[in-house]
Amino acid sequence: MKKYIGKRLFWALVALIGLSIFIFYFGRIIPGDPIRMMVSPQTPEHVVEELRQSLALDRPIYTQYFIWMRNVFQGELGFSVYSRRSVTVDVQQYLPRSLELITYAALIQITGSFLLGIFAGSNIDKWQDHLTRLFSYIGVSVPAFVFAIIFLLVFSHNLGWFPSGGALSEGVSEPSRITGFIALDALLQGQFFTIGDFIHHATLPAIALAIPGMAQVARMIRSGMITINQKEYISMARGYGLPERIVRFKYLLRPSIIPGVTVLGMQIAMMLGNAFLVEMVFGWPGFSRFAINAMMRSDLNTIVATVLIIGIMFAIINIVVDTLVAYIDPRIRYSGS
Amino acid sequence: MANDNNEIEEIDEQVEEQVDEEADEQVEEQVEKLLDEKKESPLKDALKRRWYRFSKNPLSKIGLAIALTSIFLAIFGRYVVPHPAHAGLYRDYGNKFIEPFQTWTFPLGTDSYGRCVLSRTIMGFKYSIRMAAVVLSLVVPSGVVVGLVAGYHKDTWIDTLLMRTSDIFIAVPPLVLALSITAMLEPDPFYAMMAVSLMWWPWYARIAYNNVSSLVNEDFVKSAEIMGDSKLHIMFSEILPNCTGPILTKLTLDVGWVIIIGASLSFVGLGAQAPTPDLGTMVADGSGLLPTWWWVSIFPAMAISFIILGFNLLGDGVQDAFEEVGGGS
Repeated sequence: MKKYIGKRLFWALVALIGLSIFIFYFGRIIPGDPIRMMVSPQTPEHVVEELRQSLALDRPIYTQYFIWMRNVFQGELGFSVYSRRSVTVDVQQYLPRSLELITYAALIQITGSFLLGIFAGSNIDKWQDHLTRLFSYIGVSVPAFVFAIIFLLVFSHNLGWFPSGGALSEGVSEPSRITGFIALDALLQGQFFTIGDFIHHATLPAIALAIPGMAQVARMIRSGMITINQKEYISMARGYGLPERIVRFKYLLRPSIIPGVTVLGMQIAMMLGNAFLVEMVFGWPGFSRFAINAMMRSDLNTIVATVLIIGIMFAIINIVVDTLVAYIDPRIRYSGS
Repeated sequence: MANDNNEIEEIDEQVEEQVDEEADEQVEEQVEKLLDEKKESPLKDALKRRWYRFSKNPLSKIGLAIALTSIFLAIFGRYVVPHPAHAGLYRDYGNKFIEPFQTWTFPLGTDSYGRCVLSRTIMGFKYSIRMAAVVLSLVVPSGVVVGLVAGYHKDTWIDTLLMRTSDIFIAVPPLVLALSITAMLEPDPFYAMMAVSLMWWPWYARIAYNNVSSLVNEDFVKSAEIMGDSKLHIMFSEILPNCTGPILTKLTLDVGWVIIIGASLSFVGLGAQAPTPDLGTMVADGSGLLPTWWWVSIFPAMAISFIILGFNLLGDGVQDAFEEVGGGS
């Protein structure tokens, strides 16, 4: 098991380094002078040259890459042309917002998909099952940003149940920074009204983020339950006269959810991408919205940093899910190594 | 008596032989006939069987209908719509923000420039379908070839090199990398297609790889190797035809995914630019007009979902059709 995780970590690292090389080279070979983007057009030529030398942009690309890499390991992601400060500072400011939103969305997705999946799997070919199927087709077919816009229109503008943007209401001030996570900081300082307000703001974007994947996971759990239900040991348990409740929750459920958990991990990882769209629609002050704005201004350092950070989170989620699956499924756990 | 009996027996035998021969001939004729029929139609039979499995689920047929309609509208959209001129920079401020379902001239209303939302939405099909067509026709052959070569050379340096390279491009969600690459270039539908293609081929490489690496140890591959067939022949004529099912299924399901990614890129502003009637761009432009003029963004949004739904249903049908025949999921 440990060997397996170690191997996964190693190859994830290789892929990430490859990715960073690719995206770094790509950013440097496209036409356009990064220095010219940083300074005003009136800047005299010798100042431009000095700046170019101080940022090592006159060196060959591979040297630039190694300098950049060294800086990354020291926690320095470079200067952002868009925000006019270090990308590291921006990441520290915006990333916790996105992580909070994604965590919230993941919780909604996990709960929702399990309930729906078990609901459909316990009532095969009845209306509950068909309803879940319809829901899953909608979930697969409607892009995240369409969900976001429809939710905004219906639940915020028309019904007025939720606010239409931002993370906190205007009068509510952010709790003083301890961890950077609003909900956690407010909790540590006992500001429960702030937590409520924050959750109120985050609910709609979180649901918009959670729904597309929820449907697919529910379908996987449903089909898992059908497969396992046909196994002999389930018939035997029933034949012994065990109560249906025990058969279902003790013997049927655990092996049924394994394919669902794998897909769930993929879906949560995909949220990292969809967050870009949802944060944009809801004006959520998170990392993805910041990254999009930086991308629109061709801010190279921020783009490279974004890809790298999302890549790291993507790898972590994937490895955690695989470990979790191995934990649920003793066949993998004991055969593994 | 004995002689007579013998003669009679001889005659009997002769008659029997004749009858037998005739019967044999008849049977042979029938068999030949059957064989001829068989010769004509193994492919036809297989197609029939697959169509049967496909059409067992009515949803698959609905999906096929939606997909064909979408393709038709993508090609002939501008000849069908009531206002083909509204595709570009057209201004008619007298007719702006007409509500939907009020007049027959503008069934789905008009936008801020007085352009027909129905016409623009239908003409937008072209950009979504074109995106999917271009991306998949680039990605499927290249990905499959990489997976095929890597899978055939399993556990050699070729395998490691190819598959680990492909891992690089799926180390982040496709949308993030596509956004980043398009952002570094300039907002343009062509760059968007190239960027999406760049992160899509690894999935086909993986599918082909997984199928091939389970097929290489099959007897028909071993015997082709013993016969001295070339590697190219074995890879493309022996192994590849056995992977078509999963690849075809993935392909139809991917049409929807590519359209989602393409629409997302346009929605962010990195795809086709206004006034092009790209569906994602239209949703983005209209989202600023919410909630008063909701129809400007909601109808294109529904159109995107409609196309994707069609191809998803179609994909499920294709999966049913190939389930056992294709070998593998």
